[in-house]
Amino acid sequence: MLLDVRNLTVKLNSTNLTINAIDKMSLSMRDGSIHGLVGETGSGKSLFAKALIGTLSDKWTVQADRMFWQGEDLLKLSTDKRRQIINRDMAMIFQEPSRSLDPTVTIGEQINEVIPKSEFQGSIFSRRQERLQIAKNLLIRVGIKHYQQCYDSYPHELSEGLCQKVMIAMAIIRSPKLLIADEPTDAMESTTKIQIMRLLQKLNTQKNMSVLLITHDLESVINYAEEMTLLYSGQSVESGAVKELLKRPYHPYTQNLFKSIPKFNTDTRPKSRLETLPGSTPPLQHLPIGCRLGPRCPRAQKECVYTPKSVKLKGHVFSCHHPINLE
Amino acid sequence: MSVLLEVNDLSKTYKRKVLPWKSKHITALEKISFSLDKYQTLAIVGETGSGKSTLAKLLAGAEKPSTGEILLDGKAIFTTEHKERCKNIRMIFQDPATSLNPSVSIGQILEEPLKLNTNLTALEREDKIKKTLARVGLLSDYMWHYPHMLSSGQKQRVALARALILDPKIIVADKPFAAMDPSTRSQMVNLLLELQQTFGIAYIFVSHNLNIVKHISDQIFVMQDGKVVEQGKTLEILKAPRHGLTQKLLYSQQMLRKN
Repeated sequence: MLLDVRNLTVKLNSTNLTINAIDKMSLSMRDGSIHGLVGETGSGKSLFAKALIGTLSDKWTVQADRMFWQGEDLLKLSTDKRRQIINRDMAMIFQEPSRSLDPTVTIGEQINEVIPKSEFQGSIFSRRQERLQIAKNLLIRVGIKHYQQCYDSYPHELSEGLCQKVMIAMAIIRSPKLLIADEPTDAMESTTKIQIMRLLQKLNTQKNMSVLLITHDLESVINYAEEMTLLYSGQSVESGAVKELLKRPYHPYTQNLFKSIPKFNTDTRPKSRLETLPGSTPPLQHLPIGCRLGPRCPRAQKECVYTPKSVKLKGHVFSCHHPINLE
Repeated sequence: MSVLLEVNDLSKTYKRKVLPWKSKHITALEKISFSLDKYQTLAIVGETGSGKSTLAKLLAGAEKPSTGEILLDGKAIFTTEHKERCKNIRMIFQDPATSLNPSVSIGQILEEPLKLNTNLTALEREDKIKKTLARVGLLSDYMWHYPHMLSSGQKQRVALARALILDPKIIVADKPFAAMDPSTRSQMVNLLLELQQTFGIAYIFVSHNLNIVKHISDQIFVMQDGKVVEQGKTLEILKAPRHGLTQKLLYSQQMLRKN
């Protein structure tokens, strides 16, 4: 097991109340897999990533039964030790790459800045040559053909897809064990999107780098990920192998999400109604008690005011009082 | 009976001065003709810079075309008043978060087009706003809210309400679902289809999500470099794409298996 998080709770402390933005969420990742973390806006996907790499400010408190990274509990380590491990093993890329790159500095300089000292082998006098060589190799590795041109240009001169490739290049410099991709293809053209997803897939198979794919785009998760975890308002809904989930979802929310994409139910006529849940996701200050899906759930009953325990069944983990497809 | 919207030889070229005596012409959109009827939906797909947004802007009147004419109910649109066009063709933009003015309440946002285009009194305007909000599934209390108090799905509903408030015949939507979650997206799709079935509005969608396009549209245009490379009924084209670009787009969204 590469990453094993059990009952993670992230609290937001404000002056008069504390809010559980993530409530008892669990996630486990196998070594060398692509794991999709799916949820709507504001469901706490990005918050999870931030809690994992420890970049939350002191407004937030992170608690968990355990947060194991290759057998070591990250929350029990000292800050320095934890930072070292994260620095060595994890890397993260963000959505809207052109905004996360520095607009005033060329791509080449930005890549040079992240090359760690341990990568250099030669003497101090050959550093310049080495730097150039490493940066170029990286750009080639992420599939940029005109690397020299890319090396000399500024972020605004490159397309969104190229910028994301540069971001990936900067992330894989230390060959991390886990790459956290936070909505890497959000608002991109479909042809660019497929290039980025292919690249991540290639890195996954060739370098055995695990990818945590955080996205609301269910289609790409289904096409590229092996396992997925669904999140609703900070509570984990269901997790398991993608194929199994598609075949037989146990949680009403999962089923509904799959049904909301016209492609997966081929029998829908064009212009017919798509199935959706009524209402919208609750804002953080008005979270319902118990199962947070409760007020919108078609199968909600009396017990749903208590938070459901997660049940493990045939490799799925789901938390619901009244699961479907069990008969 | 004449068709609702008819477009003849519409095109757009931009002129750029390279030197004081020399200018360069860039064709954003080559000549295009089509017609659209009530209850119909036209989808425009293509890559970046293929001129789909230009076409949407020309139809909505945000840009002046270089050649050609647009006929609405058989009347040329440039000879009629500008107000008439505003009333009949409305536009929805890509990102509702940035297309709504953050310093103005929802009520005022919706009142603006009424003030500019109709002669309604203040009371009638308020009534109309409440009715339109109810139509898109929002409470009339939202009149007093500001855009930042709403979720992104609700914001897109407000943007739709702003388009609907003048009872238009055609709505032009520029990538309305690009930044939406699957469940809010389906709610929005349902709402748009419902409105089409009750009021007979014609839609023109610019989009790159072929799944949604397949679901909602009757006709499809595939564009590349300002040219329409493939056009026809959506189902037929998506079943048997002829042009390379259509195939590429379909393949990139896993709707076509490579043989």
